Amino acid sequence: MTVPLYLRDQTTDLLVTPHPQTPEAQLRLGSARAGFLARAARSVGGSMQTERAVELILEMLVPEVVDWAQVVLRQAGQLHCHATLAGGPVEHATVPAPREGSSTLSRVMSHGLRELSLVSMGVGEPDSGAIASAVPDPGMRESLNSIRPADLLVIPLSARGRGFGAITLARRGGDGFDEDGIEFLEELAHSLAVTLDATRNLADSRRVAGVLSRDLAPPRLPEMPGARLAKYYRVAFEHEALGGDFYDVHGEDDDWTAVVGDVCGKGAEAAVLTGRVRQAVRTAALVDRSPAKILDLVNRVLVSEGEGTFVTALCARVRRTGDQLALSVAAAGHHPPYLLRAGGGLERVATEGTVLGLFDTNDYADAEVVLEPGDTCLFFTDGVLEAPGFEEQFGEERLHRVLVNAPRADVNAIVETVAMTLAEHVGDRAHDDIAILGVQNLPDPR
Amino acid sequence: MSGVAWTEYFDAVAAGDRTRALEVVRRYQDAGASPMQIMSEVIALAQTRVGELWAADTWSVAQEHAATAVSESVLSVLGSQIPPPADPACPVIVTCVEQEWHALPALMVAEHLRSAGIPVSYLGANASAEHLVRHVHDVEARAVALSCSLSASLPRVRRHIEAVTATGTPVLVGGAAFDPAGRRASVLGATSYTLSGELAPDAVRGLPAAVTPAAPLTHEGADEGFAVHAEREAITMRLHDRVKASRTTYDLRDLISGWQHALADHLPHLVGALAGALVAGDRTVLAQSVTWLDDVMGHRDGPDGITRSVVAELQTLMSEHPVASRMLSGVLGTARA
Repeated sequence: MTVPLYLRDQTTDLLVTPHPQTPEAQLRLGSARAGFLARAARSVGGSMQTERAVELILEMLVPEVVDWAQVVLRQAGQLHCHATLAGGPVEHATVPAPREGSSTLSRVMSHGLRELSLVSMGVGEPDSGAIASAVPDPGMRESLNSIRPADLLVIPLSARGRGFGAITLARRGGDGFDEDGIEFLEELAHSLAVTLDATRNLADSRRVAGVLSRDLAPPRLPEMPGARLAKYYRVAFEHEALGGDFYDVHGEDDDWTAVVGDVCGKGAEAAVLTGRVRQAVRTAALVDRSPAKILDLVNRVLVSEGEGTFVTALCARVRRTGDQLALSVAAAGHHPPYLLRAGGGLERVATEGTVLGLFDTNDYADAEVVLEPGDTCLFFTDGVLEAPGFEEQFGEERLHRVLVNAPRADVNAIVETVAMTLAEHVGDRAHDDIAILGVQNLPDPR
Repeated sequence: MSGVAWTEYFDAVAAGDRTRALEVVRRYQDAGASPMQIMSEVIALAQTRVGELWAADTWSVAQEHAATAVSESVLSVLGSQIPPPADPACPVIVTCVEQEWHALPALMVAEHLRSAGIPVSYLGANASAEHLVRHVHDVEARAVALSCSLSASLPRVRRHIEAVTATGTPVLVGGAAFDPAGRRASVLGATSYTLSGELAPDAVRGLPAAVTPAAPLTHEGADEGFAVHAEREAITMRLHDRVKASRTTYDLRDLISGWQHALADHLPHLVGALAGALVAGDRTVLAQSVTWLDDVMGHRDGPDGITRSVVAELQTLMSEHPVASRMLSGVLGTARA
């Protein structure tokens, strides 16, 4: 069973000038119009999708203000037309943009001035030439003709001194537009134009930002034969969707590299540096597979760039030998990883080294561990231990307790159990970036 | 497929055995069952049982998670067999409300939509409102399908609905936290409500292309609900202290039955349900939570009248919230224990 829960607002006629024009009646109309303008701005303002904003404009205009409306937007030599008739769906059509000045639409757009044309005297056929000049799509013309309009009002949509579209409005036979009503509709069109222009601009910048940030967003985990990988990633600045924690997994099927790290800072600025560090790790891994050597190379790159900002990281080389996974792990100023044995044991991998990017030292060393079938190695960033709670930070002790009690069969369940406990602990409090990566030797290798 | 098919599958997930669960599913597929059939007639039923065992406190959270992880992984195998819709543009975003980890119902909705040819962007469990809105813009979503299983999450559902409808995008809601008639969904300002995953494709097709921002909540007690939601941790702690202090004598039964542990686990749910009941304007949300607590206390050999005394203590903590207080005394009047 499906229940539709939305209803259209019911309000007064905004285009009928009161008779007699008492101050009370004028005030009532004025406040109804102001309310409509505010409502229109609020509804359309939140949408960053041009098409959806146009739909909302049409839904607001028809039938509350007029009986038929068309919104035309010009883009790359084409006119995108959207129109609706009271009680009908929104129709869409795209037509080639007419030659400059050759139609009412193009004239209104280029001159930035509204035009009111009389299309029918109430007897005989309406003026098809005038209608075609303002409504390019035949289907939309048909729906317009069905209400036998007297007047057709075309108002420009322009912002920053440039006309980029037009709104065409019509009322059911007999009702036209008076000067007072036209003024109100022009004001409405102006405020919608500013919003639509911002929406179109924003869509362009978002696309550019999307392309640029694609490489900075946390990657999808690859499939590694015989191993199962799971991750949890949460940024401090949710609206930026980018953060200073990072993870990456790359290499050959039976010999690969996993890295988890934390760049000093948050948000987009930090993410740019994580992109460079991840790239440096990938390049270094082609030169030498030892995690200690990789960290040394990355450190030298970062120190030579001399930006004075630092990075902590864990780097692991993972190799398959029979039914075991052999791990070499090196740390740079980062909390060591945990081993969760299939039988229930919890161990900490002993490994340490200096943070990356600050000192010209090389004290990185590989610690060797073996994952038997069902064993899991868990890498995580500071954000886990420092996650703020109602009374205290999440802390190491609590993490141990969660890990000891976590189900061991599936690394996804392990990571999710930690993530769940963590989210419950944090609640709605602000937190740092958080990254967790789990590597499991499959319990049932095929 | 026989009516008891799911029990065989349930045994496999109960053991946390992914390989066996996949074997069971493969056997039904060989016998001619479609992925959608297996989803609704095997996995959904088994998971309902898993949920019951957890709610009755027979299973630990860890057990429930191990079983659910197996089902999620089976579901992703089944999902990969459903061909993706031809045109991936303007998908429906399927997600769970923030701080909910019951991803399975959302995953099922996603698969039902995909199999009906509707493009889906699956965002998974625990999506924050900010993340969701960003994603709405990034993928130019046609709609958002929001799953909510716990009544304590209803205030967050409202936040998500506000955030998403402000972008003009319609919101379809569903899940165990809603009533079958869709009243709570309507109060919270959802565009539409679906009773089950199977009906989700029809519900999505019936959505408007664009919506206006959700109207403000004006019903009595809505503001109290958000206050209780914001203060839930402090309220839970004080409630727990009061309940402990009100019991001066303990007998041996208290020490072995573990009801105190179960009670501590359930108090956050109860306080959350009170917030949910206020925000959704529906006292049955609270009544259901009290009944649940009562059942758990029954299973754990809790002392007589423990549920009543918890509710009464919570009421004394609500002295500044008249609607909450009235709601609690109403529930107290009908409570069994």
